[in-house]
Amino acid sequence: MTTFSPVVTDAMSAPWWAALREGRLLVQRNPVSGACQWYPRDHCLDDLSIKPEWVQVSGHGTLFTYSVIHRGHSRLEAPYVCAVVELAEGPLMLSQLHGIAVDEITIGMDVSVAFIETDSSTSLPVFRPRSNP
Amino acid sequence: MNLSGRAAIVGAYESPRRDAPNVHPFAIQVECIQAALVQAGLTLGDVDGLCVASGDWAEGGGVNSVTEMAEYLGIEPRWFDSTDVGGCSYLVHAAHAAVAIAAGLADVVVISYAASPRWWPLKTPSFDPFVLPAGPGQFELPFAPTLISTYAMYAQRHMHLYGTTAEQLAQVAVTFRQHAAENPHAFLGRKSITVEDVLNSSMIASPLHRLDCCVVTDGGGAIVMTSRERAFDCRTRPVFVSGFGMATQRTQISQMSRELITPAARTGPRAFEMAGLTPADVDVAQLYDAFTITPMLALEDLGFCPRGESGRFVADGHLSVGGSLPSNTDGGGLASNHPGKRGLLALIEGVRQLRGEGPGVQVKDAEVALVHGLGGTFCAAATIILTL
Repeated sequence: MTTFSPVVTDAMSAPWWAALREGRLLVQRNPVSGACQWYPRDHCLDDLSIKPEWVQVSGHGTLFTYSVIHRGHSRLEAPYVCAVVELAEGPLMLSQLHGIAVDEITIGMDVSVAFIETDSSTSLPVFRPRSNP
Repeated sequence: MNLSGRAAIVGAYESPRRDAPNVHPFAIQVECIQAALVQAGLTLGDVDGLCVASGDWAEGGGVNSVTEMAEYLGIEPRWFDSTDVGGCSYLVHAAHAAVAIAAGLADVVVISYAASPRWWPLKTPSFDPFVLPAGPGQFELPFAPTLISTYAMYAQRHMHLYGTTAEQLAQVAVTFRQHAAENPHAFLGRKSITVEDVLNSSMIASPLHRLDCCVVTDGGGAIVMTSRERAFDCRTRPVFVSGFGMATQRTQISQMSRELITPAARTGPRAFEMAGLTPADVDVAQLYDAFTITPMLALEDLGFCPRGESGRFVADGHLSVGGSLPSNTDGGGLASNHPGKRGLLALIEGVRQLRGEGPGVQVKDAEVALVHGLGGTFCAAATIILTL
């Protein structure tokens, strides 16, 4: 799979991208309140004065919503499926849904993360149907 | 400060252009500004306030578009605003202008907009026009969402939660196409469509088909506003800004409302409270319709139907003339005109309805018009209530 858009990482996001290369999906957590947040920031949404910590998530979640994209980016083979996944730990995350016929997709289905290499230095977290939830 | 009814719209002109090869959007803006001033019986020399947001793709300006447009016009306004929150920017401008006029910061404000996406030769800088591949966008753009797909994901979730059907979504496009049939300038006015036509058109991003999407036109428009007092000296019948509300909500898709609540849930009550009116008082509505799902969520959030019931509401014919809420009477963005940020054109149609000058279907004796716009994928919104 090729994926659109090389990204500009920064000091805050570097650990997230590094973890993906090791097959680990991270989100952020407030070390005091325990609240998880996605996407990553330098502060906690529930307390600007607290720096969030990275925490590895289970990679399990449910399909919150999706769209089968027939007219999408020219570097991707159509159709492909963009999906919002509700992680077991709480946050919603935009990703893609792989490994399923488009007419079998149902909102609420169990999914789990898979890591795909888009080039030698980049790995992306996509989701697949979870066979043994 | 009570802001209700302190400012009036005295000029409202939409360019009849829908296809303007090689015409720069600034030239269209000036055509519209001139026509709107003539309507009002004012001249460029009267204008001391300017609102533009022309720095987006195909709009012709750069990041300092307000100074560019003032220079292009040849004026030096003492008050200006270039807030850009997407399609509803010009409704925000009208609200800001109403405040500025009430505060005495400006006497005559021009709000103008034009874009030429049909021929614009420069590439958009990123795939999703609202997000850069750096900062927060780096966590989403690699998955290649399209703008349409972000609306589609709201629609898909709405279908899941409430049983909304593709046929109900299609009815929005069918209804506004019927209104466009009466509008000689509407881009798609000549060909009526059925629900089946919408469902049979090619799928772009499920569940949205090609005919669930707005037209792409070159065009623009302009509004002239002044104080309540000065409005009575103008050539047109004044249309008063009786209430407004603005809100932002989010940008990244991962931050979408789990309940599919859009910022309209905050802009509507604010606007109605300022105007001292309720949804039942609205005679005609202009609801931003980039895609069929777009006005449906607005109907729920603005209080015209219960949450989750917009599909049934639309299918029951409420948006047609003769229904409880005739909407997008010129054909809207789905069938008449959508150069990219339609908010100003929706505002112009709201004004035309109260003047009895709708170019599409005209609601008889309309006295209260609601205009609702949004920006991005329900990222921001603004609601304006107009009265005679």
